[in-house]
Amino acid sequence: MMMRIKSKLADFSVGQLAVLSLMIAVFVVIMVLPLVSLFARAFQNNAGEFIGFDNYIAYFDNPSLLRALWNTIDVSLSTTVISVVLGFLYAYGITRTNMKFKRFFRYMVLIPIFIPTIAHAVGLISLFGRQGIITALGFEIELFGRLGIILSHVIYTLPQAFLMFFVTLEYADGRLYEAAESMGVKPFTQLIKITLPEVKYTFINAMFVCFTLAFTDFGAPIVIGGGYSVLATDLFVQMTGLFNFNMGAVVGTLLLAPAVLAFVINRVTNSANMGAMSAKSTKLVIKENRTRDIGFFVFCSIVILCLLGLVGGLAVRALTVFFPFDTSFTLANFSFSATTGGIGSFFNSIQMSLLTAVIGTAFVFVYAYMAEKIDRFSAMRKIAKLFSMIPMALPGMVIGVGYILFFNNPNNPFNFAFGTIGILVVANILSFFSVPFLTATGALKKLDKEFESMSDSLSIPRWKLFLRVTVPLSFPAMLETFMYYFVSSMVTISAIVFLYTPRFRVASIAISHMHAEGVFAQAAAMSLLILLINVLVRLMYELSNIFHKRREKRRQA
Amino acid sequence: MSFLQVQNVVKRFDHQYALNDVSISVNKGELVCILGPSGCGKTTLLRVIAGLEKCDSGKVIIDGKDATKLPASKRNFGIVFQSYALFPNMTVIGNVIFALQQKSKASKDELETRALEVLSMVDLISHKDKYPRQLSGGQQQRTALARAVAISPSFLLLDEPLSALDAKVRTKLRGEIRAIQKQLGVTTIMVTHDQEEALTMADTVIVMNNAVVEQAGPPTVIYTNPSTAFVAGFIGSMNFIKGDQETAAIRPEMVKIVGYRESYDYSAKVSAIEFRGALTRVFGRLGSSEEFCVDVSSQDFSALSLREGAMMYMQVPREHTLFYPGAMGRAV
Repeated sequence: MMMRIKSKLADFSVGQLAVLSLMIAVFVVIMVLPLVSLFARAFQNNAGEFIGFDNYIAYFDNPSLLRALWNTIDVSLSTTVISVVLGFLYAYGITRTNMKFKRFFRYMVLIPIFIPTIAHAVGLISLFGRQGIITALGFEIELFGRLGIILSHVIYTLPQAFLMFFVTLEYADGRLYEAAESMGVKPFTQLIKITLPEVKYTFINAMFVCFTLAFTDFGAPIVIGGGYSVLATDLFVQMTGLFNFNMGAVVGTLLLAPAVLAFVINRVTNSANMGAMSAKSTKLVIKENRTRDIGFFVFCSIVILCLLGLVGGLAVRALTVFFPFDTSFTLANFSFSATTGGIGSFFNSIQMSLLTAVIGTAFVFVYAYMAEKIDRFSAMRKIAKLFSMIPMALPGMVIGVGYILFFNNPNNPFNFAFGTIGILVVANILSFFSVPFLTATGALKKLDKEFESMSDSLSIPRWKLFLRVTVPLSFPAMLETFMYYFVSSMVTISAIVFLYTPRFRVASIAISHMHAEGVFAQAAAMSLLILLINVLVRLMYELSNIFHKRREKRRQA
Repeated sequence: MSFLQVQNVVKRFDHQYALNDVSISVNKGELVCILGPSGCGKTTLLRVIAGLEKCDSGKVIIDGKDATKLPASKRNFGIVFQSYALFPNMTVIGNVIFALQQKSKASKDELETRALEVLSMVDLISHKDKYPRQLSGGQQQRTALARAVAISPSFLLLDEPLSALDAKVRTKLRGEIRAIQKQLGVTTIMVTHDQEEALTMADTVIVMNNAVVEQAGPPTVIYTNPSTAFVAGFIGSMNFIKGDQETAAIRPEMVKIVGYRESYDYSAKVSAIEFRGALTRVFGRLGSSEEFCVDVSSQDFSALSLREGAMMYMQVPREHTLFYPGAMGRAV
């Protein structure tokens, strides 16, 4: 028996087992246990006794809390309808028409991804607020409250909906349309009978994604919500104002509900969608139709003008002394007052995002490698794969609350991490884990699986193969992961709002403080700085991609 | 003298047998081809020999020592995969040196000397600084071979090494691989589904089907005296004539077409004629269902003046007919 175990563990297995165990242990500490704490708390009273559903009953008996729930559903539904329709039309325009400037439209619609949701709201206030630019022109709307939140969420979710439709429509099978054409099917019938069925699952997924994002966002309602309460702001109040952690946990679990549902739906539709694309698909040839092209050009231009208007609004407010009363140019708004976090918060954000990107990328790739390229310990690898997908269903605020409840406990051996930059980085790595994991897995799957057999036969240790072969070959995917982690961490607020300390504030938090303290122009200025650095990072990413592709080409010539 | 033995190896994947009590023996210095249809377990057998796959029961004995539990890295073999598994971020010589580094503590210069030595053997010196993607399929294949033999392995494993290449290159490389194998005298086990490859290259052919070994022997024996109906049908073309107790089998080139006045064993209506260059194959139907074919040299064929729909008369020499128990023969 001893012999058997020994020989089984030979051949580098000990190292693999250790790394795999460590990865799973990390996920247990940073995800499973905080979630357990959250759920446990929702069923306890203040004394820590189990009280069943009493907290939930109390919640649903409280009209003001209940109103927040209905409000949230209301704004999320409205956002979903608007974003999905706009996102579909926008993606259709870019993939299925011959309009001009398609590349420009395709990249510009991503602007909202590069600024925090709180800055979307700040941008709207710059335009439509009491001292807004458009308000000054005599056009007034009831911005604060429901309308503001919906507008802000549409800006937030539009790029996501667009990207989903874009991917589906871009990879359509041209043969279907050619067949329909040859049978004399009219264009409108083609749209109903071919295009819509093609994007059916994307519609469902996009609806859930938009709904979940709007449902759980905290940044916009906190500045633009006015008296209109939503779950996210309620959660914030329960946790940091009333210190009612049990009710906070209840709200946290409610916040989780649509995301979990979306997660399940996504799994189901994804497997149903499998194999829809075959290798034999031909590229779609877009027919000539000037009316259609002009129509979509006008539509896309309006969307982009709105987004650019938002950035323009931020810029005007950031670069003038006191709009609209003193419109002279100034850079003074960029010398931030120290009470709100100051310029330090911006550098803190960069520091946090860099750490997240570096550690996160390394962690994701080692994790994906262990899950994908090891042929032993299949039970553990299954757990690892399951863990990797759960963060997709976890709103940042739920992670934040779970972390308070778990880590901020003096008996917790990891308590030392609470209140440090470390816990912010960990929360970010977890929060954004799933997308990089899919990127990494995709990249690793493309690598010949016989590399591993090869290295075993040559007694090359796996870590050496990983560093010498896997890492260099996955470089583009690693770069993408790095950029994704950086940009996402720069704009995030929801996980962090429960975890930062006054000594270490980050830029997105600072914006909310600037807004609260009435130095609005500074909030706009900070939003611009975040946009600037993110666009810069994205540009660097695109450039290094081009550079990398050129080098690859030289090796192929 | 047997260098490598596989004894009663069993390997299951989810209740499906990949290897069901498989035993083979490989002599020192010979080239053995494991031949069989896809899914027959031949690649699994190779991976068990390599130690890349653990068997459920049975033994692998290498050079007189029980190696069943030995990890791949301790078995000292070179391997060439179907996909070659060349590291695309390293040059040709980089790939070879990377392999050498793992087994040897020699200086960089010595390793390079050795690398150049094997690269000249496969005629790739002029391409040594290229990256794999800059090479043709055949050159990549030779790089993989050079990398495999560089470490002076005690045996060489080739997993469908030629299947990714086009026909011309494949034929040329068959000869090259065989020449290098003979020159080094290295015991080699090659997996293939291509019978022509197996027959032309191997000292011994092992035919596998459904997770078991059907027959092992020299190519000529495998062809002229297949021990089971499966081998008979899998290697080359074979006519099967079902009887009550047994099935008779005869190669198309052994059947003789004769005039109707001569004594004949069978007659058939010609259903199709295929011109194949040197040979012409004539198809007919025996009785109601069984298809039968005869190979005639194209020169002789023109003298026969056969056409579709005509009758042909055949002699089936008893000494070239094989008999298998049961009426389960399969025409190929």
